[in-house]
Amino acid sequence: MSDEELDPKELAEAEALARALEGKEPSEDAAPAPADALQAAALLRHGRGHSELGAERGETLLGELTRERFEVANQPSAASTPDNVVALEVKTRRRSLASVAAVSVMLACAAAVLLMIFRPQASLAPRGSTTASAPNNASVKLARELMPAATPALLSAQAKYVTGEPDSSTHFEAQMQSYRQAMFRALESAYPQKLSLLEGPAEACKR
Amino acid sequence: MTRRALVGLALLLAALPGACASRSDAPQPPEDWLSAVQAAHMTADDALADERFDQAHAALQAALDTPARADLHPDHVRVVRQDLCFRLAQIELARDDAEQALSYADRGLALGHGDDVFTANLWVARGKAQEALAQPADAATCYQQALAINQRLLRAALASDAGGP
Repeated sequence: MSDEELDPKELAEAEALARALEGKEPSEDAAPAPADALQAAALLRHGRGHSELGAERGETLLGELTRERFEVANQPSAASTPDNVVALEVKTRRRSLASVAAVSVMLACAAAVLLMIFRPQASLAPRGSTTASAPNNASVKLARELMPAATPALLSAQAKYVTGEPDSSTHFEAQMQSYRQAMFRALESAYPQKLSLLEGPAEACKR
Repeated sequence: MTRRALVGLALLLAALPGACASRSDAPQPPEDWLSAVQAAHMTADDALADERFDQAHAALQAALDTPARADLHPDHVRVVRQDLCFRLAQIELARDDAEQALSYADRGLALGHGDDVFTANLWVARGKAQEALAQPADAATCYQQALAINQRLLRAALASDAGGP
């Protein structure tokens, strides 16, 4: 038998395969096509005609989906009665009021938190002065007036220290030490609290 | 909308303890800041008497690094800090570190300028540092600034003495 000639069984199988490829039912008297050939035919058929959405089919599906959504959105419900419409309005207003109230509470809380974080400490600014955080000329002048005036002895020692006279450094240091003590005493009186480390306890009591 | 607002509120309330905690964790200036600075000066005085420069430096530096109380007048904070800077600059000069001395003098002057002993002292320290760094012209300018303040203060002091009881 040559390759060109087919036996009847092969012919019947080929016919069954051809029907399967075309998507037709196998004829009753036809021989059954081989299983693997049928699977291949099914794959071919699927890939050819049904796996890709044609433009026409796509338009149809989109139209159906849009229509369904529109119908669901506009579906007449039980709320369309007059009583239900009023109830729905009241409910909507209540929701709006609740939203406004919640936002207000939230803003108030935010303000409280910010105040708590950035609140300036209770002012202990020097007596008679304005606030320490925003000094103006008057408050600066007042603050300077609180400081002890430099004595001529100190200024003289400083001038000598500048010119580099011998032993001027030691003398200037001694003058500065006493001026420093005077400065801290002045600050102590301006900002009353537990100071007097430079003085002995007895001296602190005398004051 | 309501749900979002409530969620926001809940988040805010949840963040409140954290915010408070972070505020309390931040370095707080000591209530007795002035006492702490005075104590640092005393420690430095004792240390410098024995030429223990490192100990004096550490005490003054710690005081300088301590945040000042917010309720003090800025001018008072300035002079206290400038005095610390001046002393630190002097220690650096004694240790032959003119660069560091200059740095402390500049740090003090950056706090502000006033017609007072403390600003004048910083100009002196700056001049000494620049003199050590072989910058005589700049040093002279600094000394000039210091002496100008010194003269104004001396004039005021003498006038005050003359007008006194």
